[in-house]
Amino acid sequence: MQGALLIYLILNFLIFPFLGIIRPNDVDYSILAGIIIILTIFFPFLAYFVKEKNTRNSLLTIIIGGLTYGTTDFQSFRGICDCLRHKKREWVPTNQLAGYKAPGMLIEALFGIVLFLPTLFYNSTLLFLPSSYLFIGKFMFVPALYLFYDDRRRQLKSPSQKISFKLGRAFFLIATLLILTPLLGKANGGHGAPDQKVIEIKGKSVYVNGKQFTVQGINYSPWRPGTGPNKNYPYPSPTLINEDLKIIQKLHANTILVYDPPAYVLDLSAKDDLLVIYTFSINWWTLGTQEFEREKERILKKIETLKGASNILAWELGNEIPAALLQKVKADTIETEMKDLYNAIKTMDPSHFIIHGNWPPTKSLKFDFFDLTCFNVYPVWPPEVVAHGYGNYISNFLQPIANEKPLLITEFGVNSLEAGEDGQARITGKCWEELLQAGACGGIVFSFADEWWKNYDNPASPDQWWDRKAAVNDEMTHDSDPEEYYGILASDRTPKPVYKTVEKMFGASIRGGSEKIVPSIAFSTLTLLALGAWLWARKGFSAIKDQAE
Amino acid sequence: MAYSSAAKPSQKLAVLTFLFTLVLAFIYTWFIISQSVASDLSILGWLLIIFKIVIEVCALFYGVSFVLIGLTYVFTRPTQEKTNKRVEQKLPTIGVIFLCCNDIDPDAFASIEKLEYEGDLHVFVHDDSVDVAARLMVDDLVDNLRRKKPAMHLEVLRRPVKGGGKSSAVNYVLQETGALYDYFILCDNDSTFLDARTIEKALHYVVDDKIAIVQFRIVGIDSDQYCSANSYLIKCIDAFHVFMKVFSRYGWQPFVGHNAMLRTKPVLDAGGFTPGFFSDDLDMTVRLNLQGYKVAYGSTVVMGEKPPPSYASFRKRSYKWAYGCVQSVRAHLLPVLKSRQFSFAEKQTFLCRGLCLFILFLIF
Repeated sequence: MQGALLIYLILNFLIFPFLGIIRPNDVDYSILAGIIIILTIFFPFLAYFVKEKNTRNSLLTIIIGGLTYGTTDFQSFRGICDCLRHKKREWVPTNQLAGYKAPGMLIEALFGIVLFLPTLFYNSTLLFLPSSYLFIGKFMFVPALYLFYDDRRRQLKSPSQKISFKLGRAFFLIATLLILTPLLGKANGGHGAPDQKVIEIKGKSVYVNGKQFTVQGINYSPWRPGTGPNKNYPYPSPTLINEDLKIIQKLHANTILVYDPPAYVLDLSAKDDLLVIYTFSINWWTLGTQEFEREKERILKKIETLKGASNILAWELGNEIPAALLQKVKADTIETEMKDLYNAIKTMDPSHFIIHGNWPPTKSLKFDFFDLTCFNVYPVWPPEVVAHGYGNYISNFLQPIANEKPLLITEFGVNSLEAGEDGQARITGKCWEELLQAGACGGIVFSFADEWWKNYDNPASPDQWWDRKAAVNDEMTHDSDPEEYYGILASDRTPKPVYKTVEKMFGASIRGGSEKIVPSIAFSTLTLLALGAWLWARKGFSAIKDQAE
Repeated sequence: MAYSSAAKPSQKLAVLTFLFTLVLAFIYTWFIISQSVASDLSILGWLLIIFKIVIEVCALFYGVSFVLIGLTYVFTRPTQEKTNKRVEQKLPTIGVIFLCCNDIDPDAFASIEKLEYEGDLHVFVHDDSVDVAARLMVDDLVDNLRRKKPAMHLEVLRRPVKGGGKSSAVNYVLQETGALYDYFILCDNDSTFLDARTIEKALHYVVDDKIAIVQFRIVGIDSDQYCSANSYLIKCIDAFHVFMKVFSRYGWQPFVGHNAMLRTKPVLDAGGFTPGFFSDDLDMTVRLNLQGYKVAYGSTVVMGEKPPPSYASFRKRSYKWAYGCVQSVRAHLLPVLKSRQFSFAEKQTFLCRGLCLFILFLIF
């Protein structure tokens, strides 16, 4: 069993991260689970110390006992293997001082570091389990224990050494707490914290809480088959939303773009550490009319109630103004109306971005007053994008429009009906690479799952996508309509191949690196602690050796 | 129910542990598999996942049992000192077997002086030392004790042919002197008597003939010769009482190789200790259990011991335990599982104990 467990550690920390198998995605749960694991392991001992009212120095006893008993794995493993191999061993008493093997202990310490490093780089969320520091960090203390735990040290005990020991002990306890602090800090402040995120623009980048933030978003529409936003179907329940958000979180996404969601969507996404671009559906055909004033009031009222949410990244004022509208309403009117709305919102809520999801057909509209320049750009439409190439179009046409402001691609992707599922995966991955190379501050994949309700019309015949006829009950059937196939998951939440692609592309730069920072601090502290303990113990041990000689 | 009686232990804890583990394992396995299905794994990936689940479910079992053991300990009333009158009319003859091998602990040995017993008491020091100075030291300590306790029968034994480890040393003493005493207290070089009434108290636990061994409660002995690590580790020795106390009532109570009083006849009838066995204690417990004998935990009879003097020694001991546990499990797993002498709770604890390395790995 001991052997199996050593193999387990190697698998869990060295192999699984590369295979992408079962990695904890919810940091809060990881911290909680890790603390429960540690408490469970030490529970009988804690019970003893509490019941016997023998709590003086019990924490240090548990730590030293834990390190001493816990770092004998290799010896135990060797004992098991020798016995299984029928290797003859003579019984020897073990209550005597034994020899000291420096190379062996260093190899064990190295083993601990080797287990840590790939985990840190490829599966850092695993290091939010505090128990990981116990299971693999202990090996790093083997060299120090060899030197520190030796009864010959007592012979050199002097007042100065006693003070030195007490200081060392205090340092050890403080450092142990330091390892836990970032984790606990993350638990308390990192997710769904009541404090709002500080959102800023520096140059062409977005910064959240002082760190550069690449928007890794998912266009999230929660409507499942048989439902939709247009027929007074109830908004999907918090349970269903939560299930979807968990999937989004596993993709290493950091943002969702969602249309007119109720407040609980914001609360649930905050718990999953997701920022929200709150999009207001706007009926563009009311622009310039009294009805648009009512639209404005509705938007302002909503923002007034939701602006205190901790995880709002931006308010998006509609998207994709129909090109045909420009024939009915002057561009100036559209720009003025939008600017008025922008100003009204900014007065009410200066701390969040206000954006609009523009698209190539209306790129000539002057929306430079918005905080970010946002475009929905697909690689296979319109022809001007196809002709120039996706990345080139963003660089050469959209970046000049954005000018000095950050450019965010608020929709990109391709449907699996036309591109095929493998094609969807390949093209989406390529779009992401190219939009980042083109200097965008991020992108939002369209979309989360296939939606049956899309358009309430369908192609009249297969392959005639643009020859459409109305479908009153479109939400009830999954038709051969490309619009219904943009999901990275099927409507039943089965992943398509593009799911893996998105997971990989977002995983490459997990949440602006914040998930690496916390474990890195904890790992560095642990390493320094182990090294410091070794150097400290080494000094005393040299003195013993000199004295013995 | 007396903790020390030969009655079967309560099954409650074992059944609870089993059921809790089963439920949690089911939930956990379902969770992992549902997550894995979404990951579209290859056959190798699935094999790795199954391996992961097996290990984690085993760990879950230990986790559940640790929590229940801790809770049981907290809610168990402290054991009162036993005062029941012994059935036997005549006080039995007691032997103390004190083992050393170049490592006699003078303080521990001197603690024999404390012992008070109205019946016959024989002390045998078995010395396997090869170092001349160590042998002289043993002789000096024995002479010293003899002067202080002239009524005590005290003898040093040195076997002509060494080998076979501790088991063979004990067998040698039993072969030479076993006829002289009904019970013997087995001591390692650092076993320290803390209570003058140790023997009297231990005899109260031998409430019927089926109790072959009374395992004493072991506590760590403090010493100014310790390094700082050992001054903490002695408290860990004390804490293992949690497991012993709970197992004695709700599981399988093993003999831990020293600081215990053994009934001479069953041990001799069983053929003594198995030479070359590293876990001679586990082996002896199982062999006696299979013959219907039990081990009682004398939680009010306290003896001291010291932790190994260095980390290297500590690791050597871990090697020995690991080697010995595998020896015992290999030799006795099937007989134990098949035996009607072992209840469900005892079989479960035997497995835990036999695979205790697993516990040590998880602890810590």
